[in-house]
Amino acid sequence: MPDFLTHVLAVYVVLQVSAWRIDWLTRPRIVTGMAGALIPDLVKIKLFVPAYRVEPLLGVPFSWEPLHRLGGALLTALVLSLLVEASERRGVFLLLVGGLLSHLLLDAFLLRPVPYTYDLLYPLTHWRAPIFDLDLYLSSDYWPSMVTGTVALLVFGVTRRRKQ
Amino acid sequence: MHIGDDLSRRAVVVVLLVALQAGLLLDYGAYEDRQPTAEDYATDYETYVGQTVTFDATVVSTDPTVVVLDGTDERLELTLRNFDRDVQRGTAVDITGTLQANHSVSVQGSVLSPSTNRTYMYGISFAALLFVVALCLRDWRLDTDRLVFRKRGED
Repeated sequence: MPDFLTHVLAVYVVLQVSAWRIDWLTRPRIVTGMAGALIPDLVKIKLFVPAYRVEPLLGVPFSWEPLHRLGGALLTALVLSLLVEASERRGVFLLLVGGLLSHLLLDAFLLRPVPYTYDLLYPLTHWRAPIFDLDLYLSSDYWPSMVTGTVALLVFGVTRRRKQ
Repeated sequence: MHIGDDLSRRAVVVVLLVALQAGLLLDYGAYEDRQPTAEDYATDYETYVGQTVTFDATVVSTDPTVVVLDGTDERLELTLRNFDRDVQRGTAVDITGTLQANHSVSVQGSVLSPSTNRTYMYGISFAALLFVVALCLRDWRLDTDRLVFRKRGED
């Protein structure tokens, strides 16, 4: 992962700029897309309950990683969209999917010591998508959040001016 | 639509989806060509000797550089061979290389980040999480009667 702030603000920028033209993208819907950008990092549950602690309980091999892959993240988005009123469900699902796809892609661009990324399309395939291996940043770099933060502030400012 | 039906139907679908999710977690755990984890290296070291390994670790001493693997309760310390980058105690390193018998690894690729960057990453991420939760609660409210979130300002 880049940090959560980068993930969330990247989606904010895209959706808020789109909202200048698309009236459907109201504030609650933009916020929903931003929340979707955090879905794959549900996998961080592993920091609190590591898979190797779950395995002895289950007696079979176990991994949290699918939560941070296409299939698992889509399932999480489906569950979340069932928590909203029926009339918003389809829209919420699509916004969550947009957010989580953005997350999976931004994570593929991370700097790694190996010439491939990760099997982000699982369970469709275990292919580790070397074409996305752009090595752009580390999760712990300061600059991605600085850049997205600056752009997000600009977009926020322009949006306010447009409303006046 | 009858609301009670919607609630029970939703509950059934959520249970099915969670079961599917659990299926994925088990399937991935059992996948044979899965990337080994730090826990695998720590508990089954000999199996991986001579193989190319990839892991995240933290520098515990320099000259020679010794790292401790992240993500396992078993304390596995490895000496980095063929590694001459400038690191300090606490530097986070991502390493790929060949595991050797004497608790060392011949490094083929490495990515470094200072420990302060990692502190920043956790801090800013936690702040962003709280921020998003606050935004969601500002724009959505829980209808406790029907157990759904509704956009605020509408009924």
